[in-house]
Amino acid sequence: MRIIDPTYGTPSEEASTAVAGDRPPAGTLCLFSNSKPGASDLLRGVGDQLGAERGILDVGFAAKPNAAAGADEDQLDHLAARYRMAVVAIGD
Amino acid sequence: MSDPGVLEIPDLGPAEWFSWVEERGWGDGLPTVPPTEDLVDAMLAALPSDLPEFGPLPPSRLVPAPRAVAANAVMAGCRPLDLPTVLAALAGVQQDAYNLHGTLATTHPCAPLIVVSGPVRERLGLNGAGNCFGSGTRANAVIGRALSLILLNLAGARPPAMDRSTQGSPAKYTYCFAENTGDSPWEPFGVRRGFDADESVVTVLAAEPPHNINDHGSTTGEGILTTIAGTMAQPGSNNVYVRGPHLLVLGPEHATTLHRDGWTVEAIRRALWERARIPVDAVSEGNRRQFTEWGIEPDGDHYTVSTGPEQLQVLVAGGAGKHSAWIPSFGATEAVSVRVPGG
Repeated sequence: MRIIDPTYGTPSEEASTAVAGDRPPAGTLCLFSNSKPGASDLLRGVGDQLGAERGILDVGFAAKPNAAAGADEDQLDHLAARYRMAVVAIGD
Repeated sequence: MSDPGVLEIPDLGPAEWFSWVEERGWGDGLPTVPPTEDLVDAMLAALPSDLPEFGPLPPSRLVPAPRAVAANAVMAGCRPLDLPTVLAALAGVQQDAYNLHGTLATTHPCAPLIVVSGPVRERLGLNGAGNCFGSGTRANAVIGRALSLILLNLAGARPPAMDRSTQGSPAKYTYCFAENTGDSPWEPFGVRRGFDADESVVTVLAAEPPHNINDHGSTTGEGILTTIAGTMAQPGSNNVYVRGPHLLVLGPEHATTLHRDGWTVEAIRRALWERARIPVDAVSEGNRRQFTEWGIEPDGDHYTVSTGPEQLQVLVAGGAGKHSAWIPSFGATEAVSVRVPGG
């Protein structure tokens, strides 16, 4: 039988920002919180461990302005341009 | 060359189809109707011309193909005449004020509630009377389910990867009912939302399931409001610190008593804003800190439910009996009303 795929659509044509690619190890990593208290605690622990065990310092930290809404695209574009990697915490 | 979005699959019996859908992650755990090309095209052929446009659906950011939207409606059990109401609801949840991404990805158990007003209720056989939140009425069941399947299959809000709800709720399967204007003493909800009485309207809200308000003892509007206010004064509701809209669905008997005693909708909203207060000592110290981080402080020795009387939407639905319902929301959302295409 012929059926219509209920998941069929086209990807949106929204532009995406290129991720920073030529940064030195310091300043490459951002910790990004969903701005709930648990997420910030978790990320602080991750940041401390990265510094103690891997010597990664100068780790950036950012948070969504509102825990109840998706991250703003401008903020994500800014982070993508600034960092090569992000650790995202969604802990409550 | 094959048509995009069309799949050739072996003929499958009902049980085989059920398994096939589940293997692909297309379902909601209940059996579905196969969205065959002829059923989908018959549904689209019946559509009126004044359709809303659909942009990318978060979190997938996929722009849904109209046939895929109709395929989900077929899978849910919709008839062609149900689809315009589904599309109006989809247009509503896509408005920025609704906050679709946040409501689909949250740990909160909110589901997309659809309240239907206007003449389409009778045309589709929607239930706004006895057991209107429950089972037994096809239109209620399939319209709410179609929207949920669209959000699963096209928006990508599939648990546990994207829908991160801690417990979810039964309302995520389907959550649709009609207002009961025949037994309401007040102006219809759709009219109070800014539409003409002869227009069909859906109002969508990212909401918790109904919280029952049982009051068999009160014989006055004053008494009923005391019980409602006590039910709304919950320290565990998002509306306490995220704020936002919430809904009071009065059963016809409670509504009749309130009206008899002179209560208007506006007076009910004001009274409940004043009386639905949560004592500070009913909120834990840790949760008080959390409220403060959200910028919420008590008003004297009580916390309020949301920001003011205008956040409470009031309507009548249900049948005989002395029950009403309070429906808290996700908070970071708005009630959005959209006219149903074709009236």
